[in-house]
Amino acid sequence: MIRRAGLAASGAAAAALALPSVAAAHGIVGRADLPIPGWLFGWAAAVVLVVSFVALALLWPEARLEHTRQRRVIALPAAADLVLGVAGIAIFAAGVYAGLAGTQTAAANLMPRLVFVGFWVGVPVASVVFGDVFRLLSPWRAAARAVAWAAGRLGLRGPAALPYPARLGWWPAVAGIFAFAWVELVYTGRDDPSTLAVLALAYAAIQLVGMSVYGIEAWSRNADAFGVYFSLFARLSAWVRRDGALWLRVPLSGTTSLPTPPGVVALLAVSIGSTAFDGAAEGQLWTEAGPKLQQLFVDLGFSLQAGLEIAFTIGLAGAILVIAGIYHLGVRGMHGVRPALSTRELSRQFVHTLIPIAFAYVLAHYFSFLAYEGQAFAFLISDPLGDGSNLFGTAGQTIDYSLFSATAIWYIQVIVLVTGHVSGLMLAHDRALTVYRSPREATRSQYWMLVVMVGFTSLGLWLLSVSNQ
Amino acid sequence: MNRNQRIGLALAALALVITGFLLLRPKDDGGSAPATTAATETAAPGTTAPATVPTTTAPVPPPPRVTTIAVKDGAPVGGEKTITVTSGDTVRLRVTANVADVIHVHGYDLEKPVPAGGSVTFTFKATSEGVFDVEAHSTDTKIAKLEVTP
Repeated sequence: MIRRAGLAASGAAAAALALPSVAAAHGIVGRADLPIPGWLFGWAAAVVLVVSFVALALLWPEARLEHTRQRRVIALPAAADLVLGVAGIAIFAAGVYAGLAGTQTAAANLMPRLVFVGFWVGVPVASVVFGDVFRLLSPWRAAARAVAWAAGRLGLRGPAALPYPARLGWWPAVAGIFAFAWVELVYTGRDDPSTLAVLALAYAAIQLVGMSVYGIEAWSRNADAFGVYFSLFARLSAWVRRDGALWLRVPLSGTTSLPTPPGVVALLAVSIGSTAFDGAAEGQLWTEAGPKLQQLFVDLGFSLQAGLEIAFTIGLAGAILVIAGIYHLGVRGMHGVRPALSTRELSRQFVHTLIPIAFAYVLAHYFSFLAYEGQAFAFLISDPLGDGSNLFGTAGQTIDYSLFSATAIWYIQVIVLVTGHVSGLMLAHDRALTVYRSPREATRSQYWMLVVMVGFTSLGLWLLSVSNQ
Repeated sequence: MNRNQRIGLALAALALVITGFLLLRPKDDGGSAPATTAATETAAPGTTAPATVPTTTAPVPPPPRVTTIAVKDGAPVGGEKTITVTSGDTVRLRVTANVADVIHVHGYDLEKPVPAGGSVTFTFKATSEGVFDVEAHSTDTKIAKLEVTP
């Protein structure tokens, strides 16, 4: 991820110029995965096809994942909100403080890894394992709730919240996630700790204003980009919190109750597309096309850095459009099976099937990143500012890059992508049984979703393989 | 399709997938291919590589190759090179620089200064697999990629 800033600039066209401003944007990571070898790529692609057709023949004839039972496991007192909320605010404050007051060397400062490793990759993984943890950890939501509680105790009453505009739907979240992906993959100052701290403060300020105008819950569930985005992954989880208790449910079943406000399809397209672009940006296609595109804008009078950012912005937007296009293709196909169902309706009815695909992309691409860079927190918590302090005696810890063999990482990537594929297929099959009247129509519609899923999974495999290098 | 047919189909698919894996998987597990480097290679000093190789040589361990990277004003001469080694091999990397610099091998976290007009040599065992950046810290420029394959 982060490390690739100088790539396009170091391509043939711009190599001689070696602009320090671009080159200096070197990342916190100096390691990349080896590409999946050709034989494993071929085998995995074959498995995807075999699994898909077997699934067509074997999948259940009645919907099973919709309206599943949940089992109450344990009471979850309100104290959990307090503890996690305080933790979230403390982590946020520590990161922002480190970013502003600490060393500006990205790798030695807590903030860049906190944002790109812990927050961006760690929270989605935690959401799948434990459920919607970010809802409780969210520093802005916790702060707003604390203020609301305090105001209530003091008997203060502000003006009533405005109704959240339904037309806006999840579009503010789409904009927020796109902005984050842009900072992560395009912006050349992405690793600068103080810039990240300022961006985090600005984001939190926008959230606080939004919550105060439209109400904490309405805003959090629609417009807080990260609250909305992380909650998608939490829907895959076996754990859900409801009525003051923790409940166990069938994994994946939470996705079937995904709300479908305006922007929901775009949000998933941005998620999958940005991860895809990150993979593609390391591949041959982009390392050849990127510098040419950059040169085009440099010739138009932009600086090398601006040209690079414009080129990467186009690449990122292009990848998102490709993903949206693949999904739309499947929807068009399903529309043909029963024209009475509009593409708009179908598009929303099946969008939850993309959640496991999106998570598979994130995990396959960033698994090693999380496993290795996550280890950095061992020394960063002792020396968050990078000033040589040793708060917990762990400042001397290092990252063990020999934890996983390259082969193990390849297998994990393949297993993750195939699992995501099968999950998406099952969800689509299940939904088709409820949307289409006859099982026959449902099956016919699913040939199209099969094409979509095979497309996404093959693309995901290809991006990680030698074919992309 | 009845239940037995379903199970049969699933088993057949599983068998197909496993057979495919066994057939496709490369055979030479643990076989160490000689270190190949895409960058300039010179025989290590001391091991005089004869121009005429004896015809009947048993596979002797190849002499450690030294990869040399010339850094001029903080940028690699001839662009970024890829050094490919097999896991477990010994990497010998020599960096020359016309201005004083600090060379950093990521992942192995080796950092050594190089004086102006001088050189520095890294010798280490490639134990972690992956692709690692080698950087010149004066300009934070990537000067080479170290590719450690299984």
